[in-house]
Amino acid sequence: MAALLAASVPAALRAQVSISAQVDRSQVALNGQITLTVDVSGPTSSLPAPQIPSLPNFSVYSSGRNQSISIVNGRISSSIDYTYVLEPRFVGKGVIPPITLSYNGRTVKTSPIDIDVLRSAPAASAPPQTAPPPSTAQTQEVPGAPDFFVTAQLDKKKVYVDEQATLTVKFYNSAALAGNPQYTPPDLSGFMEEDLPPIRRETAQFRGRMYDVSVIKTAIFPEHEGRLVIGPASVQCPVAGQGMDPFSPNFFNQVFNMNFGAARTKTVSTNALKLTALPLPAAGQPRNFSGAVGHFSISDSLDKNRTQVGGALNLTVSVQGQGNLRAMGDLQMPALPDFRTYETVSSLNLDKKNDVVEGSKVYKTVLIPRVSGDLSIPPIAFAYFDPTRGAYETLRTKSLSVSVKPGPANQAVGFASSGAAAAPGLTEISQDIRYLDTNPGNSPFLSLLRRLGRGGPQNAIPFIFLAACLLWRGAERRRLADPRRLRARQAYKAALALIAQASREAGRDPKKSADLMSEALCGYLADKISEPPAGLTWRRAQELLRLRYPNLSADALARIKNAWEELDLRRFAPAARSGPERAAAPDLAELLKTVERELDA
Amino acid sequence: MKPAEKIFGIFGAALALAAGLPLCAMAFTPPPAFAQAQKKYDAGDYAGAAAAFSQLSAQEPENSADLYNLGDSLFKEGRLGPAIAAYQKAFDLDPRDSNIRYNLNFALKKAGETLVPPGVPPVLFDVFYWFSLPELSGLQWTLCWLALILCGFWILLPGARDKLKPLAACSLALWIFWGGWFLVRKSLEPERLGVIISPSAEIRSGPGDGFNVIFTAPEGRRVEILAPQGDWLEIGVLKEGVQGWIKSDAVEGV
Repeated sequence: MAALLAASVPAALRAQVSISAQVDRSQVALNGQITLTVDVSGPTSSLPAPQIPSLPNFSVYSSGRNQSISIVNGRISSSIDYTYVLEPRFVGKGVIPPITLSYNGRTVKTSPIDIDVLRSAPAASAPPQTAPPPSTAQTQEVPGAPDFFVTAQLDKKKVYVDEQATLTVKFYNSAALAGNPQYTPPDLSGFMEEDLPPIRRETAQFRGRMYDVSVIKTAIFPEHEGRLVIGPASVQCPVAGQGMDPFSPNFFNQVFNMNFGAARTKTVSTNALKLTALPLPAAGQPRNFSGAVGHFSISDSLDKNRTQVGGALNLTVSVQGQGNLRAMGDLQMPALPDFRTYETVSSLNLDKKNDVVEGSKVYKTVLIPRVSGDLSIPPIAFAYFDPTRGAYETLRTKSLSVSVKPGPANQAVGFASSGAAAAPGLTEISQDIRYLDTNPGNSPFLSLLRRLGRGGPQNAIPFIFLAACLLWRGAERRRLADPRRLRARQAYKAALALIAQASREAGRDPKKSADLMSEALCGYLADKISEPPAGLTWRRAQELLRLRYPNLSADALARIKNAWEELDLRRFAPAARSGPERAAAPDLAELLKTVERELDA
Repeated sequence: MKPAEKIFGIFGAALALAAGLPLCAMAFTPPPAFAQAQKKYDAGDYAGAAAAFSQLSAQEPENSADLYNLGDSLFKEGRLGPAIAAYQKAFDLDPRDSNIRYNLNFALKKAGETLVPPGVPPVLFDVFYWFSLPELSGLQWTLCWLALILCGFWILLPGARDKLKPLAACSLALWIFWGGWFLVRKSLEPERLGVIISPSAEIRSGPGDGFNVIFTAPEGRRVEILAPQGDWLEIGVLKEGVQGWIKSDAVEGV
């Protein structure tokens, strides 16, 4: 039953973060330092920071962090080591209370750590500085060479936004204090700050007097442009009321020889400092610039160069260098259509050697090849601003290649399985345009259709055709409606046809020629007067001609009569009338032409 | 042979010829210039391929395949605007070609548009744009010819009217249908279509640099060219329905 319950607990709840803390020593002299390392680990890349409790017996300075991330079988595990430098304030038993960490609504904590703070060890002799530079010093009470004073100094007056400037606060003391001094850091609004431990001890000479000097350095990074103000730093010093040797070189030890009841507090402060933060130039800013300012290098690697479709590859891209790595954004990964890509996780490692914030930001992602073959990962670009040169730089990783073999058949279907057996299907790898049309021929029919569609005068043809049909049809109707008139109009044309035929026959058969001409004349007259040609006599023809065509001249009638008689004579008595028949045809034609003209008039 | 039979014979021969012409096209052999352009494309010389396909297209402006291939080359070269212009020209000639539709839609998506307007059923769009405008015009003119000639013969040949009547009526109905389709398409489509070929074109409130920039349009966005004035064009952006002025060299006419 218990096993069943345990199995039903979600993995996210079971996979909790853990925290542990350790110190490099459990006994320390009052003027010594302890290194506290807090290790936080858990199944996520975004582990929360530990909550350091109030430590009234120690001054606490952050010394750096070191993060490592591993991805195994798609599971992320991360570990961060936070390093702190602790400086004891009082002699005696000190305790570092439990350090807590809250994650997913649950809190884990470390065990308390006991520290024994002993009286100060003898100070190591250090060569005195001959020229202390209290340019911003504010001396207290004693003119000339005060018992103690504090200075603040910047290494640069102008920096770019997110460029490091180093603030150095020095506490000079030559008096025997009644206790450890309390340092109050300056107001650093508008800056991102990083402690630069440890506190260094040195000696210096000022106006002929030897001082113990405590040096506290802080890296500051302007968050925005403009003239920014760094507030005054102050040190509260418990001063013995009497009997203290002002010339003792070790003010930390002297306090424990004094009467605490008689002590009073004196405060020394620095002046406020001003720093000009220059904006990053807009001109020439690369598209993939993500806010990195400093000096960097970039590298990339794959955990293996051979795998199969569906196998996992770990791509690691590391950006190393000096600068405010916390302000750096995510890398822009190139499109990798041949791979299924997972979320990129990043880890931050900070180091503060030589008072310069440096370190690395490591980006890790899992790639699953979707296709087989020799695949490549193109160079990854990283842009940063170089404050030394005042210009942007773009770095590129080298191109990586991996040989991918075909995987099992079900690997190409999908990598996320819901448990149920899925039917095999297509997996879209990427989208692209379709290939060229390799048959660029154009259909002549479609070309003709398109040409026809362009319009043009040729498209008037069907309309003209239809109009002509309609006109013809109208004319035909009108023609058919009056057959007499039609016959009369066609008479001349029919007669001329017969005359032409008679002319051709004249040489071979004069009688037939005469018959044809007679038929032409008789038919012409019959058509004009709407009488049947058979049986038509000249008398009847003359009568009707006069009736229907009163304009016809007597001369014309006479000529017609002569022609009629002449043709009858040729037809029925050819021997009696021999002559040139060929000449008769044009005469008859001429006669009919004259008659036609008079009839039309 | 009776006149009516003669007429039917002539139409039958014409139809057989029309049906046979596409078969002639199927036997078409690509010219050597095409092979050279294809070789450049395959070798990744997209600029060279684009130049070669552009030449081919200039020689045969109504060949949709050359325009499609030109679009492919320009797209691969990274010139989205000119690629969309070429695809659009190919689509205007041969809207049934599935490859042209796919690539035009693919490219338009990169310019923030789609071939099928939002809210329009794709099937309806496919049917409505099954024929190109010149083809619709050609069909309606063909049917116009057919209907009017049949009507003419119907008038001329009273003896064949019984046979001609259903043919003439059918062709008249088809003419009205295709003619109506053509007119609707013509009224819906922009008079002059253009494509923005500048990477990020600024559209101003008037024809000059002194006028305010009222909006910008991405490369590849299709616009209607409304009126030219000097070096400037008044345009209307089809998708958003806004108007403005743009420099004429930032737009390629389709």
